[in-house]
Amino acid sequence: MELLQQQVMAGLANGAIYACMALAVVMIYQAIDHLNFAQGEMAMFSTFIAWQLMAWGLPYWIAFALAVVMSFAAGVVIDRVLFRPVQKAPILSQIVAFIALFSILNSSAGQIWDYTIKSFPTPFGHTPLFGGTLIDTHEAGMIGVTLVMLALLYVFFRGTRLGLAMRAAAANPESARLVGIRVGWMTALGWGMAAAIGAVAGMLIAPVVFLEPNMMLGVLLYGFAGAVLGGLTSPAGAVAGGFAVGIIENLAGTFIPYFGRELKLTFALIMIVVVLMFRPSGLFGRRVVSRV
Amino acid sequence: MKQLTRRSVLAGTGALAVTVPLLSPRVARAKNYGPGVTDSEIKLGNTGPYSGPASSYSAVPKSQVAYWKMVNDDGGINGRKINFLSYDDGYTPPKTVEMVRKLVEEDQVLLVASPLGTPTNSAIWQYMNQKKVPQLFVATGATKWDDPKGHPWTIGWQPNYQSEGRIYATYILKEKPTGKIGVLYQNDDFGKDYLKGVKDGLGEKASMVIVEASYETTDPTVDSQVVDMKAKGVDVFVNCAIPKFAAQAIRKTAEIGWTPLHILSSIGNSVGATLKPAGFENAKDIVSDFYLKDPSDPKWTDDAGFKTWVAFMDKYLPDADKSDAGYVAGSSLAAMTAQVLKQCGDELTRENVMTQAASLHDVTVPMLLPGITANTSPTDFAPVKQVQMAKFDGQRWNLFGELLKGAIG
Amino acid sequence: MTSVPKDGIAVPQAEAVSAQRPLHARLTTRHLIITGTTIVALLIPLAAPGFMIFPLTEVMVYGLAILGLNLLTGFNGQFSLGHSAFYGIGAYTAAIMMHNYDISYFWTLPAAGAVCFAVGFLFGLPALRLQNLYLALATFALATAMPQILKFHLLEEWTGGVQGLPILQPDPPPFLPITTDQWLYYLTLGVILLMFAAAANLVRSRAGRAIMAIRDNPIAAAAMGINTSLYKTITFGVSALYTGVAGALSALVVGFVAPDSFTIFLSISLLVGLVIGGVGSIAGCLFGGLFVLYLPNIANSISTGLSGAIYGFILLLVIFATPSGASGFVRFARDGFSAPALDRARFLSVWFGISTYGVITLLIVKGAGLGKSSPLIFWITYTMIILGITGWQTIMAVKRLSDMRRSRWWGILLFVPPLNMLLLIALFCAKTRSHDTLTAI
Repeated sequence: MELLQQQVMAGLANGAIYACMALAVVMIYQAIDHLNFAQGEMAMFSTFIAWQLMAWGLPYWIAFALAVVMSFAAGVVIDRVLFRPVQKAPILSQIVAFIALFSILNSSAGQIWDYTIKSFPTPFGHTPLFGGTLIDTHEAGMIGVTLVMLALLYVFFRGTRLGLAMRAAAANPESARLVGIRVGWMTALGWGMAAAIGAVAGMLIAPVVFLEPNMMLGVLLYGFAGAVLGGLTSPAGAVAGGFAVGIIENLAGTFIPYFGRELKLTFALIMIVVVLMFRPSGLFGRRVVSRV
Repeated sequence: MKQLTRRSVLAGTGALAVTVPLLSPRVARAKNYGPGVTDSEIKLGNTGPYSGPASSYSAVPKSQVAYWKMVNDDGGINGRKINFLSYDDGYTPPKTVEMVRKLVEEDQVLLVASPLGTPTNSAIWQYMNQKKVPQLFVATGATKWDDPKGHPWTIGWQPNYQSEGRIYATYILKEKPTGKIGVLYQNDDFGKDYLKGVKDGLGEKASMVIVEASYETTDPTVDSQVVDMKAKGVDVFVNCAIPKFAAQAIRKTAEIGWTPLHILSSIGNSVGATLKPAGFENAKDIVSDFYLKDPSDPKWTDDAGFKTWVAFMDKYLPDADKSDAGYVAGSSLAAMTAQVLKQCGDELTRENVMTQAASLHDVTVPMLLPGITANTSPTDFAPVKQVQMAKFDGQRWNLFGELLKGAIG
Repeated sequence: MTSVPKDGIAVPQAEAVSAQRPLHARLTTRHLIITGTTIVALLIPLAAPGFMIFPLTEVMVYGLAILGLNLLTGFNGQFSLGHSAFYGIGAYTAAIMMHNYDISYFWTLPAAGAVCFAVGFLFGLPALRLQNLYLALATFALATAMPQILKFHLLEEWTGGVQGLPILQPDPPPFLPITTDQWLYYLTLGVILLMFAAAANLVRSRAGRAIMAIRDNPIAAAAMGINTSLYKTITFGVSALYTGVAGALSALVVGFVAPDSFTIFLSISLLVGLVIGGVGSIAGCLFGGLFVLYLPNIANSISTGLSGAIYGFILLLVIFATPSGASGFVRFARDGFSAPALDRARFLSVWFGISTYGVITLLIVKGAGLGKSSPLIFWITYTMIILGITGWQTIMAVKRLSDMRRSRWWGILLFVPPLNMLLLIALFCAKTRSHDTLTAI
């Protein structure tokens, strides 16, 4: 029983990472209606920039803020430069553009900052909580920040005009234009926000997994899984999905006797596929009904 | 008949001295060239993961490229410059096959030096031996490369993983014969080799291993594996992970207040790449094995070999992170290849390359631990076999004991 | 010609004339291109050196794998990121049959196809419920799981585990005086021709139309009485079959299978190849295969340290220039020239596209080493490409010019870009004086 409890806690800790990433993924999905494969690499790159700023002597919070702002700007630029020319192209071509971005960011980061792992500081410290078992202050802080971001996004999207405009632009660009919403800028804003959230996610994740160019590969995979499990239309669902993926994966690894250890990723993904079969839009997603 | 004056004798001798070598058959300096060799150049081939998920190992081929540049700047080998062609294979075997075939058939290299990776080298193993091209000093520690009978054109280099595993097992049997062992290993060739080595080394006591925890490189953390081990009562932790996961494991072990006998493999024991991110205080009393010097260990600051290496890095790879052990491995591999080429003299055929590679006697390179040398023979294709154990005291690794051999190969 | 006697005199009757048009009118440009390409393909291994045949064989194998993906994604609209799994299953089927059971390589191809069809079909069943991104994730899961499954220790006896399985490459039949490389090339070529023809046939048939209808409008298709579930699952199976056969061929050609050869990155490469070649185009798949194989080499030769970045950059350029892939571009050029309102801007944009492709073809040819080893082959290839493209465009331009009632001599301008490209080629092919050093930047 204690093992179960411990693994659930460890799963929650891992799940916080995935939830963070899933949130960023869903954010951009809401803005541009596509999954951005390069999301992880953008987050990784932003984290490296923060690290570099700190290496040059800036204190943590200044570097943090600067990295977030720069990521926001970079997101907008990427949208204008990369996304705009292929906007009218078929979806698959856009996905290839994302793949190209992934490749560029990953390779550049490796070339500039090398592949040795670097430790990334955390404002929360690493002291263990709850009597020294599994979750430490940083991981708790990570969960906290994720939930706070989620709340802020909720308020933004539901409660402000700008949020409403963004949702409209993503849901029905033509009608939005007719109402006077500048759809192009809404998309750019969505990209910027997604990049900024990604930067925060990266800076939260790096202290746990150590900073290196390939750190986001696995995280993105699980983040996607969590986002899809929770439903791509629901940020809260994505966060919940991220936690769920973390817990499922840990429990599968520990308790399934033969296959568990080696095939835990497979298991996690199978579980998600099964869930999707019964709830095709994810656990908390809205069912999209299309008129014939 | 002219008078035999001193002058005429000298002139005659001089004339003889000049003409005799010209007339006699050229046995004294036999120049025998294989493909890729001219009077001024030797072409060598190499593949490595410059891109893709294994790109963290790109330091190995990169440092080789830089090393050969240094060799050329210093005049080359026996007057010949080295043209080192290094191609990216992304750690995917089909790409390796493609690149190696290009090297052998299009670029016509003399040999392929230190291709990196076990699956990648396995893919070209048969080809190289069929085509009789030296597959020299492969950059992987799998056990199978020491096979002079079956694959006479392939030769390994570093102590293989299974022998290291056995060394850990021997150490455990000495220090904690009733311990419960947990092994953390990467779910691929080298990880499984370590595990096998440990279990084989334990022999009948292989049941001491109660947790075999694997991880994939796509896993974000190995925290849950560590937690699992502690919960199951493991008190000997054999950590065969790469630096990223080794560091995570070390940190987590300290976080959860677990103090097993912690054995770290040579893959993940760098001071700068693993222990520093993990936290020096957390790494106290960890035991590991070495055959190369750790560049981030302050112990070697005044060591002559280390200084040579640092000078090389400063000049040819100034922006590189010296704590990446890949740079040490790569330059050492290249140095060993340079030694073989030097031994070949002017007999630069593929056959002679293998003959020379199979007759290394106490060859050393700057970054091998003092006392460890490379030795090969026609029946022994494992050049570096010895390692030395060390314990971390919170600041540096302290070598102890004598040089150990892995008893395999 | 039949004749009906009338008044004792044989009179050829209008209706008796053959209902079909004569042969030379029935042949379309498409047939000519296919025949021409096939002849060239048959001759290449006899003229080209050995190390070039191997990559060309691989190009064909990738082309076949991409065709499999195309059938599913391009023609049926089911998004799949999991084809590396089918590729791997096919490869391992072949490897296990040859390594563990000593079965001749001939049988591995249909066996791999059958196994993959079954797996694809079974996977297609739950896939029916998943749409778009969710299907993408499910197939992503399959692709990510495959290396793990292949490494799984319970299956190690068959799969060789992490060490992989070596395969003895097939020898050419004793009566043919060709090398193993050439034999594998011809074998692959034969399989390709067969399967591409079958795919083209499928696409043009009723079933093919049903499949495409499901892609375009599933609801309408169902309303028309098409059994969407059946067609979707069968398409999944067929698509897996194609990619599986490609995997088996690749096992023969490379001579080795290992779990790490079949990761999600392979799936992504196949997807990139699909898009570059043109979604929904069968011929485009080969171009996609060419791209997938050679672009990493080109990026690597430009800079080993930043090869990924260069790869991404070139990929972006190509996507910007031809968002619908190569076939989309061909279609656009063709339609564009017959459109009534032809303006200068369109000319220029088409020429930009052609030049981009010309430069890229050049780089590919350089990367393939054709220029270095045999200038003759290079020049022949280049001339064919340029004559084919330029000549055709010039003819169309002249036609348009006369329609627009302008002097036909404006068509000469079309030759200016090729002259630029000739200069580029000369520079590329010039012998370098000092030997190149491959430096990591």
